This record gives sequence, C-alpha cells and structure tokens, in this order.
Amino acid sequence: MMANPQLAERIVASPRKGIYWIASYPKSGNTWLRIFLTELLAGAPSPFPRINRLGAIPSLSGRPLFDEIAGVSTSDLTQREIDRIRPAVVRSMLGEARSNLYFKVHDANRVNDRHERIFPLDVTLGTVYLVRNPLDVAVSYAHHSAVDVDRAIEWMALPHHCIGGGGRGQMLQPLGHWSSHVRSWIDEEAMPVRVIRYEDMLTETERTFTETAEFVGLTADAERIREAIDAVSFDRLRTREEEVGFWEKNPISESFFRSGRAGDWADVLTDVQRDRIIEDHGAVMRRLGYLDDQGEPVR
Amino acid sequence: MTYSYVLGGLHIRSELPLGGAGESTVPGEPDVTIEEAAVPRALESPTHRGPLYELDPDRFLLAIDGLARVLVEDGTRVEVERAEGTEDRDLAVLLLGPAFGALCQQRRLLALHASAVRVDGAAVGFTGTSGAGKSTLAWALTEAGHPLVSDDLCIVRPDTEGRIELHPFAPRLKLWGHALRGRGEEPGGYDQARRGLDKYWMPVDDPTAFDPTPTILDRLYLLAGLGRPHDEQIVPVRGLEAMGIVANHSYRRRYFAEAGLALDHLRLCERVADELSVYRLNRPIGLDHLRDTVAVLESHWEEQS
Repeated sequence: MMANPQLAERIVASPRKGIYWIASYPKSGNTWLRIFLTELLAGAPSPFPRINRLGAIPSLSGRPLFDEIAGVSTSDLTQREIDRIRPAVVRSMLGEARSNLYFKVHDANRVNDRHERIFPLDVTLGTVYLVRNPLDVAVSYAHHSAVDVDRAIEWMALPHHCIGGGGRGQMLQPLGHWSSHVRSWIDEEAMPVRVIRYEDMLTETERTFTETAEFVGLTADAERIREAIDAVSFDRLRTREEEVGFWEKNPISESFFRSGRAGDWADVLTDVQRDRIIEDHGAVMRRLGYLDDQGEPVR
Repeated sequence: MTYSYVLGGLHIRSELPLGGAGESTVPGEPDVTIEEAAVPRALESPTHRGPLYELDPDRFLLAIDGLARVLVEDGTRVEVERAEGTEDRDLAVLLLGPAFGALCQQRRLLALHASAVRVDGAAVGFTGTSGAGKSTLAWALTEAGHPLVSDDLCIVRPDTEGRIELHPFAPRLKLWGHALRGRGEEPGGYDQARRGLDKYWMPVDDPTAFDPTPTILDRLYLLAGLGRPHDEQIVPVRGLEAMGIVANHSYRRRYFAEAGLALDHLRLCERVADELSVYRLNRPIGLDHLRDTVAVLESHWEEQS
C-alpha cells in the first residue's frame, strides 16, 4: 500500500537501492526518529520501545561496523586517511546490502581533502535533516555532556567542533559551528533533503512522522503509524531507559531521555546566554522560524 | 638493517622496525619475511575485492591512499611500498594490524581481538569491540600485579592435548592519549604510534624480558557495553553463544570468509570456544570505574581458585 502517489512514482522511477542519511546536530531528535523508524521497520508492534536495538539504523561513525567493512582499524588511521576511505567503504556497505540502508550521522555535510563527498551522491537516495531551536540544543547538549551551559554554547560556536574520536567506539565527527552545520545540509541541492524541525515533531507528530517515513521509502497505513508513535512516546522512552538502560547514553550523563520538550531554555538560560546564542546563530534561527521579525525568540 | 621478532608464535625477519614490538633473537630460518619492495596495483583474478583490499586464499593486497600498499603472500612473505612521507612507525601499524590478519588467514590461524594477562599461571583474555577498553583494562590489571601476556591480538591454537595455547603478540600496550591522561600519565613520555594520532606504545616491564613462549588460555571475558550497578557483573556464556563471541571477535574474520574459508574459520572458533570458559563482563563504562572492575574480576578469580 502506497500512501503517497508521488512517492510511488519516484520509487518506480528509481528502483536502485541506496542510502538514506538521518542527519542532525546532536540533541536534535535523531534518536527519537530512529526509534520510530526502527519500530516501523520491525513490522509488528512491540510491547516496549526498542531503544537498545537500533541496529537497522546504525551510526555511520561506529567503529565496529565501519572497521569490519573496511578491513582495517580506523583507530590506527588519521582523520585525513579515514575521510579518504569513507566514500569507498560506504559504497561497499551498500554493495553488500540487499535493500536500502539507513545511517544516523552527526557530521556536517562536507568533502574530504580530495574534494570527494563524505556522503557520496551516487549511493544517496536522500537525507532527513532534523533541526532544533539552538536555545534548547544548548541546554540539552550541556546535560548530555555533563558540562555547564556556557561550555555547550561555546562548542556550538566553534568552527571546528567535533565529537567522538580517540578510544571511544565512534570515529571523529566534525560538526563545526551549529549554523554552518545546518546550512551544510539544508542548502544541499545535489540530493533530496527533507528538513524537519524537532518542534514540529512534537506538535504535529503524526504529520511529520508520516511524511518522514514516506520520504525514506517506508510505507505503512495510518493505524500502524499511530501505533508506532504511541510506542515511542517520550514517557515510554524514559521509562524504558530507567528499566534497562540505554546503550547510547553518554556514560558521564545522568540519563539520555531527559525532558524532550521544546522551550525548556526559557527556564534555564540567562539573558546573557540567550543573547549570545542569538548573536552566534541569529541568521539561521530566523530562517528556521526560531526568531520573529523583531529578532525575539519565538515561544 | 634487519630486525627479528617472535609475534604470535611466528618468527619474523623484517627490514622494518615493528613499533613497540620487542625483538627476540631466534636461530634458523624465519617463518615470515617483511621487505620494502614495489607492490603491484592489483592482484590477478582475486576471489574478493573489498573497498581497500583484494584477496584470495594465498594472496592479500591492501592499498591505503596516501599511506602504503601491502602485499601478503603464502603466509610467509610481506612486501610493503610506502607513499611519500610515510614513516616506519606508520608502516608498523599496518604490518601489526591488517597484514598480520592476512598472515593468520593464509596460515589458517585464529587471532582473537583481545588482550590478556596472567592469572594463577594461565592467561585470561579480554575481548570486545573497538573502543570497549581492552588495552586500558589490561593496563589496570598489570598495575594490580597481573603480568601482561598480550595486547590487542592473541594468536590461539589448540595444543596436542586440546588445550588452547595463546601465542603472545608483544610486550607493550597501545593506549590512547586520553586513557593515559585520564589515569594521570603524560603521553609525552611514550613513543607515539603515528604522527597525528593520539595513540602511544607503553612498554610493560622490561621489553627484553618478554617471553614469546605460549601460555595456556583458559578464560575469556567479553567486555560488554551496558553495565549498571545492579546488573549481574559476570555472566557465564556457553555453547553457541560462546562460539559466537569467539567468532565475532576473531581478528579480521572477514578475510577468511572472503577467501572462501568461512567453514575453516568456524571450526577453529568451535575448537577454541569448547575449551575456554567464556564470560560476559557487564561493567560501567569509564576510567573512573576501572578500579571497581579490577576488584570484581579479582574476587571472581579468588572464588574460582
């Protein structure tokens, strides 16, 4: 059953298998969407959200998977070498797959030193780019990393900010400045990019999740979508984390699923912190509807 | 200049120094030679072409853009051609890593991606995915008085009585800078594994005292990622699940499958898993918890002895 006739046309027109990137700056709803899509991919409803079984939408930066396909240990390679081999390894991953692949990525959309795309067009079907009000990202990022909010704000404004790397299980992921991260994806014209605001995922859950599922080639009837949305409600995710823990939680943070709300910043940020974020990212915030015409945050 | 090593039970004569590996002088012909030479760009009709390498049961050719090309043949010869600017220590990382994996595949040897220390006269191994903390835990255990047997790779072979011999790799630990700093050590005092890589060779004890003779391996722990205080910390694993742990954590197992030797590989894993006591070690992640994990292991060993 195909809910969207245009999508049906597109699939008929491009029968090749390919990769969908689920991309975002950290703390912008990526995990929530992955849990939802995992629920849909699983077919049958599950009694609890599969927060520790997200292997169908793995991180592209996880060393075990990448090293397995590459046949070498990325922990022995420099960042430049890894960036050079990435396109070939990604193509090889798709070559071995029987159907479309989905990867979570936090990297900015970029090229390596040979000017090859890190996310090669020839194997890409499209990107879902999740974006969240940076005022809330700062608060959530601080909790996630167990640092104070000022530090998180500073990171978001660094042109060369990275996550992962070193002995951790994840390769280094260059994010850069929050605004340039957003622009690198939403201004991408060579591949289909569906931009989704986290805030819309909260307020118009059914519409955004349905459209996203269709965009990435997963079709399900409205009933199944509603079931999946219920199964991955924030309360259920938090309860599940309390019960069994969450693999992807940063070991130094208290919990992964913390508040999930939009607008928490208003209770947390000082005026100085708020103004600093607006100063750093105002142009992109305005473009995404996070600032009004007067330059004031939209609540 | 030639260097002589015994690594994983193989006598290696090399034109290149192999990083932190301690030299051993062994009489007689080597099992493996390593030379710098012109390496072909491709193999003629390999059985498998991967993103960075191609191979068949007796040949393996790896090419890493800007670093080197490495050819491994017949389980006995390694030839390496460096790219401009590549240093000896860069080559050592490739020779001790993927090239050694290919040697093992060609010789039908099983290499566990594991570190090991000596406890009560036998070796205890720790395996896990990349970044799980194998070397860091081995380091903490050596500090607690358990001598290092091998870091990163453990070549395992059944002996004539069916017990599992562990042929050690080298008397040093390869540690990340942040692990060193996190435990109050300055990386500056150690040889950096590669320029531009925050990884260091830490010699353990006196490298010249390294004993390359095999040790019996009797226990293997999988370092599991999810551990909370109320979890059972050490859980025995048996049967197919134990074999799965050995198979999943055997080094570069894909080379076997891609050379058409998947079944040979599984048989090796089965023999090894049958002989070992295998456990899942659930422990909280992070350097802060390392001391607790050592204590949990030591009391486990106390109960068993």
